[in-house]
Amino acid sequence: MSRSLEKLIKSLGRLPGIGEKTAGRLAYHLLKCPDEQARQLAESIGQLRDNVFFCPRCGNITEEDPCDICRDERRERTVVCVVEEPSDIRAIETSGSYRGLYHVLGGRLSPLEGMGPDELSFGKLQQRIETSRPRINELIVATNPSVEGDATALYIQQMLNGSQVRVSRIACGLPAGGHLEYMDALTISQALHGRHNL
Amino acid sequence: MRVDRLKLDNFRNLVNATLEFAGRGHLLIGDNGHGKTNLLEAIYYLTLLRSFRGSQDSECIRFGEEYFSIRGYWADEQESRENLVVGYDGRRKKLVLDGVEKRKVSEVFGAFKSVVICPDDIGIVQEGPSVRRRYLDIVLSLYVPGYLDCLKRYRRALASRNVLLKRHATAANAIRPWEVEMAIYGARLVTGRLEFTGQVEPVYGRLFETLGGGEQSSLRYQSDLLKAAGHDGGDTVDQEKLAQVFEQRLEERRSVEMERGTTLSGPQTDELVFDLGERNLRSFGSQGQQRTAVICLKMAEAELFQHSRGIKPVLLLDDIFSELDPHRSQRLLAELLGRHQSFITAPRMEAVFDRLGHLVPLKVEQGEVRPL
Ligand SMILES: [Zn+2]
Repeated sequence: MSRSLEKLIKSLGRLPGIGEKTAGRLAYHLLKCPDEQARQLAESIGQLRDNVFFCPRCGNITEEDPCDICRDERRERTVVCVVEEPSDIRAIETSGSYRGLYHVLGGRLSPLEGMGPDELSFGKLQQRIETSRPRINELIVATNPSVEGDATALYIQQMLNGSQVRVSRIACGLPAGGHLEYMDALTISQALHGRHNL
Repeated sequence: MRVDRLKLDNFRNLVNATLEFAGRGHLLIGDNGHGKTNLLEAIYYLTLLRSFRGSQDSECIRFGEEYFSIRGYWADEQESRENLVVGYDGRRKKLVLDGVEKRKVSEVFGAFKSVVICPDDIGIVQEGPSVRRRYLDIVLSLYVPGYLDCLKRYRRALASRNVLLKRHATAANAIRPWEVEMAIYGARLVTGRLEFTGQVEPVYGRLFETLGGGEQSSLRYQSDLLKAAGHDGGDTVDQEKLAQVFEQRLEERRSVEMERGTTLSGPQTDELVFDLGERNLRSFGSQGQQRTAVICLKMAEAELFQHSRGIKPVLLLDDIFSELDPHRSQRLLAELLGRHQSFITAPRMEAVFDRLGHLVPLKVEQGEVRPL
């Protein structure tokens, strides 16, 4: 086999959800498909890496600093929804029922996977709460309803204990063990309206 | 519950076939090694989604084949029908309930209810406390909605806390969230186990007295958390208070447990105690008494769910009559069996089976099941 082909198969195989077999199939497809199609893919990957970064304020995926959501003056600036990953923002935005800002943690607490408080953006969240004007007066914790997601929510509540910020957790409507990313829009908007105080 | 049909593909030594079952059940007669226990195992796969003999799924694939599949059709007490496919292809398990593929075991667990009694069950009395906790957890997962999820969540929170304890330097605010979750789910586990023990106990005691020729045996759930919460010994407990007591205890013992690198209290240390009069059945009971106890426990489990939910689990009995000699216990057992669809294996027809005239005898020979 050619070295270049082998290298591509190896790279593709490292992507999540792609096994050796699929990687091989994709690589052969890229070899046989029109030249332009393959080059366009390579180019988009390059552009993604050049232009896209994480919003320094909220951690959302963006091409501008700050991101669309942080910049949008019509949004409610006193409410912040805390999520694990940028993909969770997309899921909530699709529901169209939330008008506040976001904060991306970059994961969740999980000692079993080596994720402690230092690996997540809790410090930045606290700083945001202390310095944002107008003041943030409500946090909605929308971490996944897993054991880890719940522990993360409890950690945040503990962190803000005694502060003026009201912390609530979306809880209803989400089946235990499910993941936000896969919920349909309706379930998430119901969950947001059904939120309760921790 | 009544299993009507079973379609087998490549399961152990059983010949690929679709078997039709009688409503009252069957006697399965055959020499050892010919497949009669494999047939019970296949039926129980519909309940437990794995082998009751502790085998890996891969060990159940017939030699030289790539996969096995079991498809069972059953009806419940209201005659509503369901079917389930449990398959394994060497890599992953496939579960299809009524034509819909299910990703989570908890969505399928307990859909078909059966109780198996086999010679190895004596381990429930003879072996360590973890075997008895495992028994309780399986029964409760089958019959109490949400218990299995709760158990998984508790175990994950416990494992997370243990990792942090081993790291020693962990700050209180990093470990507390896991303790809060352990307290919530742990209290639910203890409550469920206590309630089950309380409900099954009188039925167990009655059966033991009759099957054991007048001897007295009883069951109780022993838990350090219940003790700490000042529990009075009844069948119920204030779950919220129990969670508070547990959370407080985890906090108090944090530094000691950090030294030991593990959590020392909670439902993972509890025990189901079999008493024989004033003594412990596990330490002082004879082999015969211990065997009787296990049969009584499992029959009581079946009776309990008939009383409380109107569910009559299918009974799967692997060669237990040969172990019971007094006529009285055989008569009683036969009577109990008459109320449930039953599958009973034995090496040969025996006199006691006259009492089981309602069961249709089948012969199991070299993996083939046919009329006797
Ligand atoms: Zn932003």
